[in-house]
Amino acid sequence: MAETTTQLKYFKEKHIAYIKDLGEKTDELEYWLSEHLRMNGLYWGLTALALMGSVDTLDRADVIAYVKSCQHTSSGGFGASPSHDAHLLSTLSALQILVILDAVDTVDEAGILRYVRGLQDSTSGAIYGDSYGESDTRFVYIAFQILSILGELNSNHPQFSVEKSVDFIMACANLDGGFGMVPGAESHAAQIFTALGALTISNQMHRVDKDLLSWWLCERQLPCGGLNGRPEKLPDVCYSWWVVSSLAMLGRVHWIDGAKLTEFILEAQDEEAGGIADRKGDQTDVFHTLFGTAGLSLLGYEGLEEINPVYCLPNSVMHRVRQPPATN
Amino acid sequence: MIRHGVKRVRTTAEQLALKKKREAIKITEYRGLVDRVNASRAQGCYNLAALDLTTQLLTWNPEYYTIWNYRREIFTEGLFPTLPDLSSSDLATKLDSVQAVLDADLHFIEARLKQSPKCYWIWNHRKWCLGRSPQPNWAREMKLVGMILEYDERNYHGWEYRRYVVRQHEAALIKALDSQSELDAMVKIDQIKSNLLRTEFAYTTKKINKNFSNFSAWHNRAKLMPQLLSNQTSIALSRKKQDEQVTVDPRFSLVHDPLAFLRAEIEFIRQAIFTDPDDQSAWLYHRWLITSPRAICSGPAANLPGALPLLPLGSTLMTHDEEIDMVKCEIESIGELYDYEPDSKWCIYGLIFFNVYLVKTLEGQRAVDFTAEFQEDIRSKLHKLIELDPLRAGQYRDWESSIFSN
Repeated sequence: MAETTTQLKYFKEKHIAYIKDLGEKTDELEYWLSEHLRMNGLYWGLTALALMGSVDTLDRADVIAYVKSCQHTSSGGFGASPSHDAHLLSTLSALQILVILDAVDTVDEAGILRYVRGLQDSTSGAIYGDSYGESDTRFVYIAFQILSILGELNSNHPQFSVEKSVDFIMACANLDGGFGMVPGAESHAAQIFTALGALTISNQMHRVDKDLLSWWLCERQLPCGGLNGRPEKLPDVCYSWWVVSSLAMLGRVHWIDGAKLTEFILEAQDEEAGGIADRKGDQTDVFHTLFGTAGLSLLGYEGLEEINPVYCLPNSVMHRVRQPPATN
Repeated sequence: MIRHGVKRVRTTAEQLALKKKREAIKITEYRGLVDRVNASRAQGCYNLAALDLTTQLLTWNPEYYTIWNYRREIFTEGLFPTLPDLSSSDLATKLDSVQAVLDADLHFIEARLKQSPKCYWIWNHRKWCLGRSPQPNWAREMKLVGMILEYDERNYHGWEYRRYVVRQHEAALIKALDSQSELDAMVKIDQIKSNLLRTEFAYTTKKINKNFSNFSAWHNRAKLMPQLLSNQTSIALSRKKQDEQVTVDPRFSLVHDPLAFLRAEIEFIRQAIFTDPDDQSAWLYHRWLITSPRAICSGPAANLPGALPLLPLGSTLMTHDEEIDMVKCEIESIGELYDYEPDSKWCIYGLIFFNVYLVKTLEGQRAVDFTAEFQEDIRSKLHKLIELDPLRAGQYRDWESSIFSN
């Protein structure tokens, strides 16, 4: 049984260099085609660097200036890039970046609160992604995390009902104990992460069928060690985060084989150019570099900072979250 | 920034230089287009020329959400208000024009969806257009989503879109109802729901028969079943043997007898399990089916005239003894499969799960009451599971301690 394959390691220096270079690839078309993800990309890169103990790789003042340049004065939300419209997805990334850099007070906090509270549907408790009204469990998680970071997750705010949004999440529960993106939708590991994150932040985890859901989650692990996001789908490094963080919130990380998953993630690295891909042999990107690294961190990989499974922020900065959930 | 399934290729310095040279031209072109669109928006242009610019940019990059927003602004700020007859009282002409404009956009979106079937923004924009259509064509939408699910039977967005279309179609039919009285309206609404429910239920049967591993279809079936079994029209049709759709799905003849329906469904899932005992989709659904009979058949929501109540309101579907018998029958059936497939992890899992469910949950035994024989059987099966499925050994160890604690 003690079959040790080639001793794979985490290529920290390569990954740091890879992330550092990402902001300079303006001569690649991909750089311009992905402007709508710039804020998320910056958060993914910075968080990965923070887990590697290397936040200083990116110039703090530059990053803060960029984030500030993306806040819309009228709505209070952030766009992905300066000329892009505000959206909750980029607003959370912006705030997470500022938490890591301890610079939340450099932006208009009241504006962020106004933006987030304005996106709740007062009847269903659903949260919209932006003023055009796409609703999804992801956005409840984002709203709760933002309010929690800013210390404003009060259950009885006149413009925001935590209870109603929790009810919306519970309306998304399914036969397998998991959650879909909206009521009626199939369970999906990434949506489960957001649902459990929202329920943890709002101290409502007792409403989850933990055994049933953990069973579904641990069945995501395939013989190759990697995890998929739904039954009968291919494995992908990003589920190392969505599934394992969910198991962490349920206290069941040991329900999967961490050693085999570690191997699967490490194999997806580009040992020459740095970065992690969705699977071995594929092209790397900053998204999988973060979620692979974060997965390794959850599994206790040596040499990486600890990640918080609820906020996807390094534990070392969690004291900056003004209203963290009560720990069980 | 997010890539899936793109093979890594090593390039030489020369290849890279060539690629960059080619890309430089594209970058200039792309950035030029982005600048033109942004300038157009900054100037408050909401005309057809602006729409054309967004068409060009979104064809190139459908992920650019800001441009979808601008496109919607062009409709609401520019195109709709300036349509002919705005000032006249000819509302019908005006609505036709709005519909024509939106139909053109739906056509554009359809092409984008075929190019990027997993892009949230495109689906979102389609819903926006339909939400503003004076005469949305839901049959056309069903056909479109049918095609998308034909191409990829698990497309997450596709299934969600299908449920959305059904909901919207139902709402539109209800809105168009011409009812004599409140009671008449209730009956007609129930009939509308019945039609849609049965069509959708039969669709899941079709998808599952094609591929037992289609968990998206099992999932949808689980959502539809409780609604179908409490729908008065479906119950009445089933009782009177007047349901023409029985030819599509024989299950519809059993809607008035939920116990028989449940038994038929158990038989169906058994087929799936016996065909491929390693198919987790079937086992997930199976566990839900056996452990949730009360949630599945809670009886009719309300009594409608003409339809006799299925069960007295508030009564339970199954007696406690019947439920125990059902679980025992499942244990026996999995046991038969286990004789043929002694190394099937799912069979062993099922045997442990249902045995424990039977004695602890249904019969209320405490672990101290377990017979020595039962204990030994469960423990040896758990140990075999750990051997057969070491990835999940942690789960099985936790399970062992929880089974044997009171």
